[in-house]
Amino acid sequence: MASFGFRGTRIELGPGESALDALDRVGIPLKSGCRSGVCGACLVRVTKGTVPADARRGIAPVLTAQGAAFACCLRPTEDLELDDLDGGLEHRARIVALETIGQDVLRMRLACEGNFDYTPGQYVVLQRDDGLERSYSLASLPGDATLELHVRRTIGGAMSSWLFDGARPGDGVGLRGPLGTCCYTPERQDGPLVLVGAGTGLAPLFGVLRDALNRGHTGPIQLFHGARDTNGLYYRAELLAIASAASNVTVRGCVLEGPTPDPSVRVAPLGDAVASVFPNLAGCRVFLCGDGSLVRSLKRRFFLAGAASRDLLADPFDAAALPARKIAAGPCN
Amino acid sequence: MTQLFERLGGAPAVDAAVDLFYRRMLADPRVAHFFEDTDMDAQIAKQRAFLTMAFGGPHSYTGRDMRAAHAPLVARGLDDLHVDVVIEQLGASLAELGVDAATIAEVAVIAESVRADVLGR
Repeated sequence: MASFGFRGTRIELGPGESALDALDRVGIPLKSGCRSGVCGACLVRVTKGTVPADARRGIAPVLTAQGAAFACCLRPTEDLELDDLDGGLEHRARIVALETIGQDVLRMRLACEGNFDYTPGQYVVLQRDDGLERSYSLASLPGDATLELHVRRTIGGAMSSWLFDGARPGDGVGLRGPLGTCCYTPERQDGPLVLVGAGTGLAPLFGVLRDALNRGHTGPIQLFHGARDTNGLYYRAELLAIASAASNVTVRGCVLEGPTPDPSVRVAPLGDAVASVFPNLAGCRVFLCGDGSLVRSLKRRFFLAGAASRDLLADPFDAAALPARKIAAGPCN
Repeated sequence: MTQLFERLGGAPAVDAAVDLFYRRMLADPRVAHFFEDTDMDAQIAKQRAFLTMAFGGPHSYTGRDMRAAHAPLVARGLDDLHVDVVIEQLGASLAELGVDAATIAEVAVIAESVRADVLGR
């Protein structure tokens, strides 16, 4: 019979047993629900070995691209290595550059020791050597020499205060990841993409936008960047350069408080700006990144406006301190 | 039971119905307030499990799970009216997908069977 490795234990599969059955038998807890490959509660990541098709039926492409499979339907014929879907590998990295790129926005470039594979749109947990952890989205592409993160200064924020005022190039940090599923997958490449980012929610979208173009997306791509005022619309020149080089890309700015000297920037809440262009989002793939409460409310709004749940890829940034060694939610750029 | 699930189209039918059903629930003022401040992905996963059960498909729900899961909602006023809305919107979602009335009635019977557990009676 085949076996699999999970959380440091090697488990032999009994006749007809699924990976979930075997984990139950040996007493390793894994969340589960319907136990029939529907609800998705028991998804695990297969890092090595061949996955039978039954264990992947109906899983969103963004998850299968990261190795996801239903533990309850996973009956392998050869040995596998499994991991928690939200687990991440530990890395060491060095700060290469810290530059202010907008009001209260810092661009941090990191050089990772060893190989760091990721998909644009994912995030990492940054670890200071005293154990302080915060999550930040990756704005870079895997071929770039460094990892790029955008850090928003938060009042009283321990990590952002350190990065703005204390950290220096050359300092070492820990990284855990990559994590997250707010990523482009090459399907329906002639369909519309709607990228919606508030503040440093632009960081993952800057990766996703360029990744979609590099992978040959031909459908229209509309990027909405929202901020309180025009000072918050950083990377404007970079975005406009992409839009002028790719005829299918439109970049829109929107701010809560005017005035805006730039006619391409609207004074409107982000959700209203999207709704005015897309009253109906059926058939659109929507990427939503930024402040957690805003992203969650926009996600519901866009779902009610017709976007399919599996086409709503959201990355809510939650500023609250994360418990050590545990990821409560998405990044907090 | 399994026959019903197969007639409806199995797991792909659940996929097709879950968005229609959950969108109807969120848009229905009689029940929408129960979904405020809930995580949409977690809710969709729960609705998916519920539809699988209501379609006569494989599930591992027990009456005790149903009671425990809904107890906080019962404390917030969940009652027969809301269960009626769920069954009504479930039927409307299936009708939207072209399911015939007799089959919708079979689904309603299964959904009805968990009413007492859901309401903690």
